[in-house]
Amino acid sequence: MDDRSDSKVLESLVRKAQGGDARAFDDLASRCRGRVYRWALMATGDPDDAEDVTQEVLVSLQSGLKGFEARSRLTSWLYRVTRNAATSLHRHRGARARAADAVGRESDPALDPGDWVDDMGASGLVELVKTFFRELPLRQREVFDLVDLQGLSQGEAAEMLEMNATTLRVHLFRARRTIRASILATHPALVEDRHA
Amino acid sequence: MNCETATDLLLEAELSELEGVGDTALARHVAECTRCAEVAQRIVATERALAATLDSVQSRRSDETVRRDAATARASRRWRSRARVLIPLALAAGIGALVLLDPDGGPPPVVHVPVAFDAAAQRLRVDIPQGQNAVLYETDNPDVIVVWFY
Repeated sequence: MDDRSDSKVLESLVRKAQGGDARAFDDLASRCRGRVYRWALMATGDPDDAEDVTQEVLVSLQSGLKGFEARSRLTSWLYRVTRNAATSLHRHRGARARAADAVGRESDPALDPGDWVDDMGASGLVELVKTFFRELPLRQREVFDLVDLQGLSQGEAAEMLEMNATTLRVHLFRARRTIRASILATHPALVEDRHA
Repeated sequence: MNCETATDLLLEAELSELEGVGDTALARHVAECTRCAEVAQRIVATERALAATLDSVQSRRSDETVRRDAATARASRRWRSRARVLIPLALAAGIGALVLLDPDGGPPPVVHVPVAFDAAAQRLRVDIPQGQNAVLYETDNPDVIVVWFY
């Protein structure tokens, strides 16, 4: 489903849920849950914390839905709620740096990393995930995830993050530099050969 | 463009440029230079693997569990917000009932409940009707004070 039709479906479900249709709310919550979890994972860096944040956001979705106005996009609103819930959770529990290990542990072991990363190996990929969570500041991580990993346009990501386009590009370029330098660092021969 | 410049540009380039698509100097270089194309493809493939790794981390709770937990959390919140109003009212009603059912049958005692006021706030004046007593009870909400005449 493309982004536009997805938005229309969500808008329709929001209207029905605002009118008291419980089934529409369940459908809406079910459709939003996956993306909220992903955003929460980006913000907390921990799968368990992401579960708690997702739960909190779904509660806020129901309690705040009546006051939600269609002027802003539901996804933008949910994103803000998710970020606030994640910030609140971290303030409450204290920042933790166990993110990358947990993500590496919980990622699908059957995942085929593809021919190009075969020689990098699963451990190399876990190292990259660690770099992603530990070395990228939150804003850079969010931007890189939305644009390069999830495929949103820079305009969509800027709207969702309520960030101007120039700032978004600065974050994106910095994140790319960190991640790509880390990728190339695992293959020094490839880069050195070219300058030989 | 030489390979050294291309290497630096590859670190910030759009994914389409890494795939040699488009009309930028970098895209043209990647389309022509086998070694730079190899580096670019490695970056693209690794970023895709990173995306797939993060995609594979899914919530372990079922929809049903999430709905149930959310309903419990909502009910708990509702109860807490109602309790903030209902508990003081119930206490005030209890005190009132005790006073009215006093077994000694004598005149009802005056019950004093200290009410703290913000010094900057306006003083509270309560006019008690002739022959009645009153109980003042402070609630959690600083804007709400229960005044019970009996």
